[in-house]
Amino acid sequence: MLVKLLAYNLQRLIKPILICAGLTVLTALIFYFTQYDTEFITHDTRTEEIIHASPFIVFVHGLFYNLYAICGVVLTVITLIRIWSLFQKNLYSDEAYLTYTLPIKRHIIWASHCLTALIAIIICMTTILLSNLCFNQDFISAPFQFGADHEPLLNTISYFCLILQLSFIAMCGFLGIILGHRHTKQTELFSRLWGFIVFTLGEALLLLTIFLFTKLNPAMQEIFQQARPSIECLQSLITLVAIVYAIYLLILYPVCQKLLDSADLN
Amino acid sequence: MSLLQYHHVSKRFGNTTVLDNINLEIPTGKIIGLLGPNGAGKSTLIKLANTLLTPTTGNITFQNQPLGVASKTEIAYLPERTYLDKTRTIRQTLDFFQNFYHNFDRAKAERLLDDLDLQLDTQILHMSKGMQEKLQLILVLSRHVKLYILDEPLGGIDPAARDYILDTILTNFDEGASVLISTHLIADIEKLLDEVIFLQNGKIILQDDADHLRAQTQTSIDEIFRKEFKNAR
Repeated sequence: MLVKLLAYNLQRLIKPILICAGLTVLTALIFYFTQYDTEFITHDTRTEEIIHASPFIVFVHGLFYNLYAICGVVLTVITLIRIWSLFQKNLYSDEAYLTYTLPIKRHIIWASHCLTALIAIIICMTTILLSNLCFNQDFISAPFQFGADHEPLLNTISYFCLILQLSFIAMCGFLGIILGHRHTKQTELFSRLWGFIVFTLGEALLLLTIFLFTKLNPAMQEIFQQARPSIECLQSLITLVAIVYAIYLLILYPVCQKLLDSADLN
Repeated sequence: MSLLQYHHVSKRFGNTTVLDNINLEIPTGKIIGLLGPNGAGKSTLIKLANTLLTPTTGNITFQNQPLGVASKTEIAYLPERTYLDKTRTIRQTLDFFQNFYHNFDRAKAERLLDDLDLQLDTQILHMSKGMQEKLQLILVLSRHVKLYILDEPLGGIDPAARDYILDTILTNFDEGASVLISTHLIADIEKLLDEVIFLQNGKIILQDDADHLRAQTQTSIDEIFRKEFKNAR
């Protein structure tokens, strides 16, 4: 039943996310190819001659750089909004009368929404990661060296950390919706308010954890003292952040499940 | 033998008591009318049986087992509102029901839809509210279950369509199954009923066999309800 629910949820969720993901990749590719042309035209290394790039190519290059950034943000925002809206629609609108009367336990319904969210977030982050390769001019010859600093381990940890962070944001939204609907009036307002409160508390606690960690570990203090901290230091920091988000998710998952188990549909 | 049992069930929302110490048994093979004015607690009583609400006190059992997956499999519930995903077509909705309910009779659903001249590729969004309610009724009655719970199946339906709804209910529920119909439009469903339950202010004020009640009072259920309701006020 979990697989069936997951399939239905993804079917309903995925279309706009895939469209946005496609646009993000497209804008990144156009950016990459126009960048290649711009470099070629502006600086011919063989003759040491500076050639002015075509204003049109420079314009397109700049335009698609901005479009790529916008698409990345829109993709992330749309992914989160779709995840929350499906959850709200499925469990708290008229549709909930069908969802809750399906011969399925509530914790399976909850698990299906969490897995749907995770898959959507992985699609979103992987699209952004793959598109980012276009900012590395050598990506065709060295495709797995993400980013400008060519630090595969750091970038891989960052990728998982971002997935965990987005999952935490999605979970804050779920908890907000569940708590908001325990109010009889202005449920939408309370949903947003609760979501924001949980998210802010989580982020504040994360900052406190980082602060305490750097206090206890002098080697980490270069984060605050140096403009360009070492790769090892950044890796430790991002790993810590990822662990904190993972702990949040491990706490919030059963809390939401318990609240959902006793939730009334008014 | 009873199908559904309410044991000392109360439901409160904040300080408001919607159901107060309900003890009720729904027997097998009967059509039972759950009758009461608006706000009597009919929908709450039904939602509790469908696990949409949890009782504040007491408990509910289905065939002597706590409510859960087994009861959801054997109860077909028609809520008072449209719960279908409007972006889907009728065919996709049938697929959905077939996927999740092993006791869903697709051939029966398609036959009933055919009677209504509904095309399977019609998107639910493009159907009128009345048609959506009929589709929902067909989906519910196309399941082979032990208990059908219909919450206000005539609410919002024009008088001309009421006969279709009542006829569909009468001719399509499984033999040996029970039907619990909640309504305040008593005159329309009176002829269907084997048993009646009168609910007011969260309490059962009368429960009896419909024929016995008519013979005893020499009047219709509708009249009895009006009288009871007036007295209870």
